[in-house]
Order: sequence, then structure tokens, then C-alpha cells
Amino acid sequence: MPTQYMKLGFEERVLRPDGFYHLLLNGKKVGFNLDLRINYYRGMQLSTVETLKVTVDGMEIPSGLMMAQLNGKCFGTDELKQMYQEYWGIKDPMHLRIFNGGLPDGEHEVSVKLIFKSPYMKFTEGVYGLVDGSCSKRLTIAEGREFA
Amino acid sequence: MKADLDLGVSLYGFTQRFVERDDYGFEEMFRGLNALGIRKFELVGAQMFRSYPIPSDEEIAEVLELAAKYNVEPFSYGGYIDFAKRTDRDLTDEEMLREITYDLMTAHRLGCRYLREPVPARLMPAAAAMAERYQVAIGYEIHAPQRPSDPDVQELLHVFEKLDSPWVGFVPDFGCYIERPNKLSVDRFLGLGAKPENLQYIIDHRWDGSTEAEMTAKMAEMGGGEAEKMAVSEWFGYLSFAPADLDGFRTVLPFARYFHGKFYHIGEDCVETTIPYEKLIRMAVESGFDGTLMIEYEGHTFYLDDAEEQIARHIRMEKRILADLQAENL
Repeated sequence: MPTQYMKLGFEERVLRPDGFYHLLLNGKKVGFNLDLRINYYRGMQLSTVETLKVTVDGMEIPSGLMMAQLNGKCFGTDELKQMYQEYWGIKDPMHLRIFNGGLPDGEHEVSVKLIFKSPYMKFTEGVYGLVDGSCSKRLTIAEGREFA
Repeated sequence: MKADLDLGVSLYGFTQRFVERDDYGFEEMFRGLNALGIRKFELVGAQMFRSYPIPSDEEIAEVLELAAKYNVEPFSYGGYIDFAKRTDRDLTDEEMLREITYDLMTAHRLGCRYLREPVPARLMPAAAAMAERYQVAIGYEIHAPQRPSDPDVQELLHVFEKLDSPWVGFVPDFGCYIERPNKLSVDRFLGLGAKPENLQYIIDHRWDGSTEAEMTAKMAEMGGGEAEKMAVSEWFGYLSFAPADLDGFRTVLPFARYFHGKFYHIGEDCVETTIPYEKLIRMAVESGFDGTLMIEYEGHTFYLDDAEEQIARHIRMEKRILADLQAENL
């Protein structure tokens, strides 16, 4: 059977320093933003996101605190699997808004586990190609932006 | 014999830069086509549009305006059938036919003459009827690791013979005929510590009937290490190579709508060392084909940001082959 897991070399772009910043609501820190980009050669439907887990400084963020923003729409991470009509373009960042009350200034160990089910590669009944878009990085959190 | 095959370039060849750089898009790619002296291009929707399978009016307008500005022309549209995009089940045939129609719509909006689409044989008659309505012909790409002699390709060939329609056919990709690994791949394993004689052994004995496991064992016996193990894995896997299936190629030629000229690497001397381009082009020309060969650079497999230079060399090679063919008949 061909390799089921694919991980391309565009990992550097999954987490970029410019996508990690404090989230403010009326000037008050409420959480942080993490922009995610796809480590693949093409875009994929949001429904293909099979796993999305964020860990900061060793602590996993509960999915209930995360909201995904893409194409001018908002999604709970539990809703993604139904979004087969919503496309995540290869050049577009998904803004992950994480309302955990905020992070201290400075450097953080950020880790994202992001696995996609290929929308077109099937090896046998029930076995599809998997695209590993995971990435871990030490990032410095940037100045707060007002969340609107 | 007329050898007036026309050359186009697939924007897919610019993948590395397109994916990595925020400031690299249609305008920069079209400028690149100009620099290469190329007019016709192929666009892969799932890669280059922000919304697929239905791109927005703004996206279509952007392509058309910039294409006019740079005097280039959308020739073919690369579609997928994302039959597995749902999580609960695969798409039904009816839904797949709808996906094909969406891609025909986009090809039509772009003014493309061809849609490259992996239509299953059973849906080909319905797809041909739809293609005729849109006046966009559908080409099924024969792509590595597929070979034209494979039963599924031959089944499609029979469907095309029966349909006898100008609206469906093949897009044979020259990437099916890679006969030996390219220099980048060999150099990589040498750099990782593989012995040249071991790599040569794998290349010489790739088609002697040994399995991947047997070749791996042989390498261990010959004193090979991790690098040899990786070479066996890749050369039996996604960078596989084989004696070119030229007899199979000949059978699909009557239904070739256009060609994909895939390549991974070409040296400064502009000589292709892994794919028998000369033989393949000669056979295409001798079959009476006078359409387009869409050049598809695949260097992003090695994460190289050198598309324009590589494609320029490849074009020089193609033109030399075509000129030689023409000269034979003067």
C-alpha cells in the first residue's frame, strides 16, 4: 500500500510569528490568536480537518475555547467535519481564536496537531490518504489586537 | 511529417513559490510565462483558487484581466473530483457528475478548451454529453504510477472507441515514462552517505523481479546503511522508475487531446536524462498529433525554487527535438 501519511516540506508556514498575538476585547486581554496555514500543495475543504489540537507550553487547549474564522465565517472546531462546502485555500490563513483568558508576554512553546483526510486519495475501503499538517515552534507573542 | 506541436506551461510548475510567498500570485506567474515566451497555460483550481470547486467571480475576473494584460491564455483547467470530501461517505455517481459539471463551468468561464479531470470509465458517457454542452473537452490524465497498458487505462480506451466523441480523451503524461532516477535524487542519497556502486546496483536491478524487501536485504548484505534503505524505499515508491511503456503509449495516441510534459530536473546542457522525450514526441508527431504539450515542472518535490530556469531549459530541449523532427522532412 502506498504511504498513507504525507508530510510535505512546507511546514515552516503552518505557524508564522505574524499570526500569534494577544486578543483584546475592549482593551482587555481575553485570549490569543493563532493563524494556521496548510502544509500541502493545494487547498482542502474544512471537512477534511480530521484532527485539530493546540498545545501551548505543554497544556492542551480545550476545544470549547477555540473558534475558527475563515472566509468571513466562524466555526466551532466540532463543526468542521460538516463543512464540505467550505474551502480552505492554500494561501489563506485560518484564524484560530482561543479564549483562554490570555497568555503572558514573551516566548511560548506552541504546538499544533493538524491532520487532514485527503479529499481525493483512497487506497482501499475506509482507508484514505492523510496529510500531516502539524507543526511545533517557539514563538514570541505579539502585541494585542482588538477582536471584532 | 509536420512537427508543429505547440508548447504551454502548467502554473502548477510554480508551486514552490506560489505556496511559500504571500506576494507571488497570478500576476507574477504570468510575467514568468512572458519571460519564457509562452502563451498557453494550465491552471489547477484546487490549488490556485481560494474557493473550489466554485471560484468566485472576482477570482475568475482577476485571472482573465491579468491574462489579457500579459497576453497569455487559459488553455486547460485542472480539476479534481474530491469524492472523499465528506466525512460520512464518499460522493455518489450523481454527485461526482455534479463535481465534473462544476469544473466544466469553471473551464468555460475561463475560456479553456480543455478540462483535465479523473472521470471514472462508468461516468465517461454522461461526462462526454456534458462536455459537449459546455464545448469544453475532457481529458483523463494517464499519470504515474499508472501506465497506458494498465487494464483501467485500456478499459477507458475502449470506452473512447465506443463513444467516438471529440469531447473526451486522454492527457498522457510523460511522467509515466521515467526510466531512471534523476541526478537530484541520486545526489541526495550520495550526500546521505550511500555508496555510488550500491545506488547503481539498485538502478540496474530495479526490474529484475526483486521486491522492495529483497532489495533492502541485498543492500544490507552489500554494506549499505540508512541512505541505501531510503533509496530503495523511494525508488520502489513515489519516485519509482521503469522501462518506458512505449507500446502502451502508442495505443492511447489516437485519443490524446493534449499532453502533459512532466519533468523533475534538467541540467545546464538542456538534456533530459530520465524520460525518453525524443522517442515520445516523435511517436506523438508520427501519430498526426498537432496540438499542445503542457509542460509541468515538478521540482517542488525537492523544494527547489528554480521553476523559471528549469522550464526555460526544458523548453530549449523540446524545441530542439521538434526542430530535428522538422529537419528530417525538409
